Amino acid sequence: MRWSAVFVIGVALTPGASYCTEPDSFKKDVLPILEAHCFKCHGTEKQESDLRLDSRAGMLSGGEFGPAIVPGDAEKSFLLEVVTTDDTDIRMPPKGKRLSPKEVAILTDWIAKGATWPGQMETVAGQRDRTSDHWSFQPLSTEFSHDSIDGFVHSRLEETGLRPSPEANRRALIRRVTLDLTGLPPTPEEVDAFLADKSETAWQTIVDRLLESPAYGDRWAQHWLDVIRYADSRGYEFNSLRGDTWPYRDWVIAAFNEDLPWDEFLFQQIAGDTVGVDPATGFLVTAPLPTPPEVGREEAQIRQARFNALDEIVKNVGASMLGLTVGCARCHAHKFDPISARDYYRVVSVFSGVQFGKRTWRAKDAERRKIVAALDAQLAEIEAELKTLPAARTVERGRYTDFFNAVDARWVRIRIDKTDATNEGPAFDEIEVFSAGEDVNVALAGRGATAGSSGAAKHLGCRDDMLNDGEFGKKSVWIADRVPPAWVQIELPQPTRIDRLTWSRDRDLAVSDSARHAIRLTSAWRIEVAATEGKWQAVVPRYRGGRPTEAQERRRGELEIRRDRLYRELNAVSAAPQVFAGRFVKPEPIHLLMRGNPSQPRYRVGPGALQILEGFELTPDTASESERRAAFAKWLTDEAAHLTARVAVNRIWQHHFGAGLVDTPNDFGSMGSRPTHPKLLDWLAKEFIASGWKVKSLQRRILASATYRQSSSSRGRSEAIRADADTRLLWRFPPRRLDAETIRDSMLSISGSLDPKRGGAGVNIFTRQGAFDQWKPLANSPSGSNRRMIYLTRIRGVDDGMFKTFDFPECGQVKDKRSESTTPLQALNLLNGPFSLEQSTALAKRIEDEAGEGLSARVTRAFERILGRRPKTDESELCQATAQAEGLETVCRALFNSNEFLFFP
Amino acid sequence: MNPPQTRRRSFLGNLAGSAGGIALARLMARDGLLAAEEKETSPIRPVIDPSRPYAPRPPHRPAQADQVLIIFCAGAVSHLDTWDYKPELYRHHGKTPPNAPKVTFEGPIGKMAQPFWTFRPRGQSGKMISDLVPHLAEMADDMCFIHSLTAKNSAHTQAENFLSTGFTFEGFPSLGAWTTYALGTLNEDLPAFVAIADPRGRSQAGPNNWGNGFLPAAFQGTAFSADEPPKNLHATARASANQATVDLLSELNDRHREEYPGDTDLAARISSYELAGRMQTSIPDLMDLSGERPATLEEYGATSSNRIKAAYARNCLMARRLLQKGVRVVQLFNGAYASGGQKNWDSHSQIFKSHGRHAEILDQPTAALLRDLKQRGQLDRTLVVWCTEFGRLPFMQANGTGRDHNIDGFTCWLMGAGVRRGFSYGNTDELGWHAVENRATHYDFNATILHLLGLDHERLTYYYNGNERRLTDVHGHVIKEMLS
Repeated sequence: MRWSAVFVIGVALTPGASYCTEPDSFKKDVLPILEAHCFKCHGTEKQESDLRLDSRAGMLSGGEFGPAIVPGDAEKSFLLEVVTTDDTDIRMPPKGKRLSPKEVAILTDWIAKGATWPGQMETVAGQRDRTSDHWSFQPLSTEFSHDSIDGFVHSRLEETGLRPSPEANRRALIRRVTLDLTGLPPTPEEVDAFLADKSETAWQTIVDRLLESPAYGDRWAQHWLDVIRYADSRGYEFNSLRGDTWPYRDWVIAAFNEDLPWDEFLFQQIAGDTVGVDPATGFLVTAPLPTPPEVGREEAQIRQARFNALDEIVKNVGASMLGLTVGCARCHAHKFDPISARDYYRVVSVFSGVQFGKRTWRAKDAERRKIVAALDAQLAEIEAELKTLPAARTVERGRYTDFFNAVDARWVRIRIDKTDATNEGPAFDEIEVFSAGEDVNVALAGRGATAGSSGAAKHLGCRDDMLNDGEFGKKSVWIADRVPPAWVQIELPQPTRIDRLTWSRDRDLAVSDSARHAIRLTSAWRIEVAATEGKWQAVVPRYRGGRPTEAQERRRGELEIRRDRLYRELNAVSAAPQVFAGRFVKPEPIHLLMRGNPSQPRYRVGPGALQILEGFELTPDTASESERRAAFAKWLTDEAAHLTARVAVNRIWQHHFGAGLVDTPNDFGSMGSRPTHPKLLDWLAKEFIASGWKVKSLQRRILASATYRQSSSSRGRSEAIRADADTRLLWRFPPRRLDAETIRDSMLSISGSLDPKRGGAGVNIFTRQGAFDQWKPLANSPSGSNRRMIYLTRIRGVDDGMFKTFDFPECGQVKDKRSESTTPLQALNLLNGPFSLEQSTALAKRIEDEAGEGLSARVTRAFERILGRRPKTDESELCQATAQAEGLETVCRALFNSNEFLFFP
Repeated sequence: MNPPQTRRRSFLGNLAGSAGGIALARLMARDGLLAAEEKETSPIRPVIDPSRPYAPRPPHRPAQADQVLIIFCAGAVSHLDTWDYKPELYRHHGKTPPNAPKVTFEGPIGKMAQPFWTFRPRGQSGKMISDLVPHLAEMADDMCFIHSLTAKNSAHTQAENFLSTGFTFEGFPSLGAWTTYALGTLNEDLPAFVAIADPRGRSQAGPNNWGNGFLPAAFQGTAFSADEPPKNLHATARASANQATVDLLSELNDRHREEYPGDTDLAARISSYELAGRMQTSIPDLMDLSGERPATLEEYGATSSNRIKAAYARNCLMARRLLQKGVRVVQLFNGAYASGGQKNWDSHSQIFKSHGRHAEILDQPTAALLRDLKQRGQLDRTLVVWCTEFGRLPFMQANGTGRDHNIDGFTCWLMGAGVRRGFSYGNTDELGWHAVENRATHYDFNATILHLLGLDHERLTYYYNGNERRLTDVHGHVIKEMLS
């Protein structure tokens, strides 16, 4: 599947095949036109759109929009199209004087006659090799002068004349690493335990504990979700909830917690369905997308919207996994990086069978099927036992037939013991009695039978003859004038041998559903016949299998309750669980689009990957949908491994130190930054691959370094501040503000209010106002709203009135790092917001319980909980005075706003 | 629809060597084209002091306008029934539209329809403006219309995004964010960029219209209105407790800072609390309209029995006060979200009723605001932008009473500092359907707005995801004809 194997366009011409034009005429007429209009941009100096027109081979190979000429076929020659079209998007030359009609005629004639280019008729078209000397496309270095993080960092500092900082104190260390790995602060007990552990392995113990804590996944998953702008709502106008998005979020959390190797992590997000992991492909469909009504009904807009959706997928993959802005090549070759439009459409083609939507979550569905089977088995048991118990018959409202042994009868009656409506008499629309063998309804009035009863409801217009008038449904219903017991009977004209009776309440189901629960339906009855008047003989008893005993009645009651519960449980699992992870359909054919315009397709492009990274191109007609994605995913960590690994380790590094070694983590192209420590990046990438792409191994290595463990103080380091204010060279641990989630979750955790529930559907703290995009925070927090922020429903672009100002992302665009801004609105929210006041009050209460009466002890406890340390004497005195005057909650509120709380130590 | 920049440049480069090239270059220079080509295009990055993100910063070149008021009519105002007079529509009324598609944005089409309101000449310029907006029409001589705007997407949200951020997608910085990122503000006691929502709710693209996108959160618009103060301006706790919190905080931060001399982020956070403290008095002062004369309230329509109009009028008054206090960008919304024409200008049916309802709310208060700004001399340094995401079609929808979306020709206008007065730029065809003369886009419109603020739209950039991102993407030309 290597590039060259599939992508050479073989256009070999037999020498001497078409020498129609005089060689002189080419030089005299054709070449000057090309020289005047084309060569400057498509020649030796520049190759706009990847095209050269200064050789026949160049013309045949073409540029990113396909071959420039088809010898012998002027119609199909793109060169002629662009010099004649009025379309300003593609016309050539792009500005200024057009070719004269005469010039066009010369070119047309030349191409029609075979485009003879003297001396070049034996050359063939081929793909120009893409090369790049840009650092990130080069293989990983193999020679290193250091074999530890500190070695690389310290030698770089030395070059700059700086020295690293001493190790941070132990309180700062445990606070730093706990916030870093879990997004929560250490408890005072955890701090004390660490201080007390004098062993050499104290640090390693704590790192191991934190990496194994489920809270680790809660924090590190969020970093990834930021990049790919995961949210639970659609965005745009309707911005409604997609539903079933959370399984992907939970999958990412689990992937971090279980240390899923990074190559697997990437593979499953692109082609997890091929290995039975459905939620993982939620990655493909995280982008905001307008719904069909927002797209409108114009054909062009609908096509554009589809390509926009595919573009979102390409952007997600390119930025997050490859650190490349592949999307920039949508309209033309990438301006700065060696990515062609063909590369772009090749990746589009990989994903052209992906639709935004839900599909069955098969693993969960298998679980569900097991549950269903278990419930069915229980149900069957209950049903079997119920059958052994004597029981009243159950009836349906449509019609009911009682069969009995054939018997001679003149009179037939139904004695009604019970109906479904306790205060109403029974009703029938018709009663039919059938003769044995002949199957004739002998009860019909038309056959001479007469109906009678214990009394018809005359005030409702009912008469006994309605029982056997042959009319069903609403029109002719007999209703009793009393509650049961009641009876109806048919007197046949002569004794007849009969074997069944059919009665109905509402044979046409005409009574509306709303009346369903009390339709005077007979629910307990018996049937008697008499051959001689008054000599009644039971043919159908009230109970099947005899009258039940009290114990049997009780048992039946129990079983019926269990059965109903099972039905409810079955109902709850009746639908296959879904996950919003894309629907996979037959891929649509993808063409390279001129200027990205869907109405200007150029030529078919097969699914594949970037040429510069030894990408491939599959034949579009044979590559199945899932094959395309699986091949691409494999390529990411195979041919493209050197780039993928660099991008991955850089992201991990970024979240430990606040900035990556490359501080444009989504752009490793030439517009992005160069690494501050290129060799370190390569060394980490190499070790990462060697470890089996294990994130936690990489993190253990980083956390063990002196670089990570050094102090963040700048005291006495004015020379370093001057030389490297951003601390990119890591002469200290770079202090940085906590992100929105860490501030919020820490406050909840400290006040004792954090709801520990993990996973599952998100808790929505917003309510929708009106039809469109009008989410507002709920006035009263719903249950579960104190769970960690990652478990709250994420709605694009909303303002929660608190954390949006803390650079909480809008989830609209792919995002490699959060800005870290400082605004008065943050100050107002954190000082005055109800959330701050609530947490301060809750914490004050907690501390009063924990620390007892003394103000001094309470203040100490507040410091331990919020800052992980004890107050200095003067701090304690200040805080006690404040607590004395304004309550302990005021002290807590000030501490929650303090720089010390809000920054990594 | 212009070819990418580099191509233009290389084209001129090609020409430079030849005699023809020189002649052409001379021609282009006369038209001012070459000047634009030759100018410097490297990014100009504002130097932002973290402790004062809103400190005033110099523009790229001397500015005509220091402040900008954006009046945003959400839902798409029909240019054909307001500013773009098309006499041919009367002749075609009731006929089948020529060369029309069967289906437009919302569905099948109906017959041609003349304007629903009478047009009259206004002011000295004699500009034809309809009776739908009689008060605004009185200001015709101050307006500079652009009749040839086109949009990229015929859905409201995407088109609002395009107007406000230069991209139809979500998550790009708004014009206001770009402006305050570049220029800071003139009054650091107030937010630099205020978005005043319509009393009926937010427009369709909502916060994306005032979002910071990938710019630092400091530059997002602060949303509040005359009736709804910003969130968390005051705590529900006792005043003395609030003061004690701030005092203690200040002491704690001072001690903490000793470990971190020279750390600007920490210093910035401390000053942000000081600014927050000042806002706690500056914003209520600003929202308190009790000092306004009864005649002023009357003039703005703040005493109207139409409650929505009165609320919008209060927003107009607040907009004036914000501008007076030096707020850099005020975005004033008229119209909320699609609702069958009830809550914004989106009149797919009963356009006569629906546009009438919204104009009643818009016209008098907005005109009063503009007159007031003019009388106070505020227009000398303030740019006013009246905009809507697109226009409406010259024919009815199949229902016979509403006009569908028209993105291929519509009107917006500018007024105030640096703007040519009583002028109309560009034109739609005789039916007001397609822009035919001086076709322009929101890229051009936004480039012009930035130009008036002293900013070069090609050099106001922010590196993000592999690109020097701009409000105008890779497009846009300043419309020089609209400048005074």
